[in-house]
Formats: sequence, structure tokens, C-alpha cells
Amino acid sequence: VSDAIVIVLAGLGTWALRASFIVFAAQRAMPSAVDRFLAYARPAMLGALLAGVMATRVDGVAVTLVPELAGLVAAVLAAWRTRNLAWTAASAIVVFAVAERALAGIERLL
Amino acid sequence: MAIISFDVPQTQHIDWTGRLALRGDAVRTGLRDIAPILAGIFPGAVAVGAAVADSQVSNFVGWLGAPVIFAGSAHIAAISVLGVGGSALAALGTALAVNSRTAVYSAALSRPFSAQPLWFRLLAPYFLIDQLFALATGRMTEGRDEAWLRSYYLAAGIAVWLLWVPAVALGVGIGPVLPRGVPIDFALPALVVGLLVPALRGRPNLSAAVVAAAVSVAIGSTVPGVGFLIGGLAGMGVAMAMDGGPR
Repeated sequence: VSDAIVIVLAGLGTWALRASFIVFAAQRAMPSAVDRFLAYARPAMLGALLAGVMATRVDGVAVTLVPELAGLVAAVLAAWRTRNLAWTAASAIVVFAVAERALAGIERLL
Repeated sequence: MAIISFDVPQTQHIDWTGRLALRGDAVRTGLRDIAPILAGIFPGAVAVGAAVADSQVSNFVGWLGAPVIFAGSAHIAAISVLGVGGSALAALGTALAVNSRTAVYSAALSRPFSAQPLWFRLLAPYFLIDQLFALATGRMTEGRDEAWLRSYYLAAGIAVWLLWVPAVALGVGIGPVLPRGVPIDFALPALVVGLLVPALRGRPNLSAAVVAAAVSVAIGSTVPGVGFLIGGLAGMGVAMAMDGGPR
């Protein structure tokens, strides 16, 4: 099977996953328990995604986590105070960059 | 004697312009909401392009994933497996496992989208990325009508598409020579934080996020791809158990 066919099949499969309920279950009434369950999709799925994204940045050495954690704390504070995505991303990047350079400086001194 | 009526087409008239037209204020709101996200996902798109250029997959076929799959993580997953000589089935399975969380988004949107026309319900899933799901569900609690939400969703989704597809091509071209200075890739987790924090009102929502994060990491380290899905479902289950049900 050529690579192009795999890409096309992955595209079709991705659409099918995303369309599954929107297209095929839209007109069906769902039990209220299912509605309650789905009401938590946003915090739960974003929480899982954030943890997954952060996990890929960790290379097993605890000290290298410092800039990541500092950036994450900055992002949470900025998001909480401003409710603005641009401020959140900018604060996190700046704090992450400063923490990364500070850590590199400390490592050179030691 | 049968009476033949010629009024039928008129009584069944469908207001196609009304159903297809986009609302100006909804489009503007959608573009304003998605703008900071675009800035955040641009480096992601360039990174996907760079990964394509770096892999054994041909540049064109690798780039094709941008418009065809339209999902960064699943795209990267497919390219990575193909790039190391993995089988077609493995590449496909990994890409779909990574994207399995979008079925949960689909379930959560099925009721809010149930009154939308079929063309929209067929088209909307194509654009359904994490960030758009978070924005759309945030706006759905405002009591807007169907046409407004449709315009909002499409404006934001198309804006992402118009940035994403050329930016992946740019990454294929310039990715290998990009400087490693500003940690712009940290924008991705930061944006997820920005979308997550407003959703954390009350203990059930907070528990949903914490449990989902913990389970996602625990599962993800052993079975890549499905950690997101199982973590998310676990978080939703715990939150539902905590909220005590309808009173």
C-alpha cells in the first residue's frame, strides 16, 4: 500500500471519528446520564491533552522540568487573571524562556 | 376527481440563502476568538512540516496529510510510523488511536448540533480540532441561535485551515533550517491551559481535569495514543459520579 493511500485512509478515518455522533446520532435523544457525562468533556479532554503534551516534553530528568513547570504556572495564572489566550501564551513563553536560560546559567556555574 | 396542486414547491420552500449565509457578527467573533490560537498553532504547523521533510515519506505525500487529515498529532503519528518503515496498518492504527479523543468531542457536540442542517453536520467534523471544540463549547452556553453558532464555528475552522495547510508546506520547505531560539513550541501547552482554565468552575469540573490528566499520563506511557481517550473518559466518569446527578 502506498504512503498516499495511508494518508487518505487516515483522513477518512479521522473524519469518521469526528463525524460519528454529530452526523449519525444527532437526531437521537440521549439518556440524561449520557448528557451529564458529556458535559464534562471539555475539562476532562483538555486535562488529558495537556498532561499528554507535557509528558512528551519530559525526558526523564526531573531538573529539566523546572522551565516547563514555571511556564505552566505562568499560563495558569495568566489564564485565570486575564481569560485571554494571547496573554496566556505570551506569559508562558516568556517565563519558560527566562527559566530555561536561568537554569542553563546555574548549570554552568555548578 | 383529483385536484392537482401547483403550490407544493412553494409550501416546501427552503430558505437556502438563510441556511448558507454567514452572520457577520458571528464571523467577527469567531475570527477574534481564534486569532491567538492561530498564532499558537503556526509553529506547530511548521513543526509538522519539518517532521515531514525529516521523514522518509515524500514531501508531497507528507504535506497532503495537512488538508486530508487536518489534525496535527494524527498527521505526525502517521508520518512517524511510515517514516520508520512501519506497515500501512500500523500507521493508520496509530493515527486513528491518537485522534480517538475526537469521537468524544463529536458525542459532546451531537446534541448542540442536532438542529443544524445536514450539510453543516457533514462539514463541521472536518474542522473539529481540540481548540475549536473548546471555543465552540464555550460559546454554546450563551444562548445563541443555530445560524450564529454555525457562522462562528465555520469562520474559526476555515481560518485555522487557511493558516494550517500553507504553514505545513512552509515547514516542509524551511523546517530543516529553522533556528532554535525562542521556545515558541511552548505555546501549544500554554494555549491548552488557556482553554482549560475557564472550564474549571466547581469541583466536578476540576476533578474531571485532574483525573483525566493523571490517567492520561499513566496509560499513555504504556499504550501510546489511547491515553488521551481513556484519561478523558475516566475524568468525565469521576466528575459525573461527583456531581450527584439531577436534583
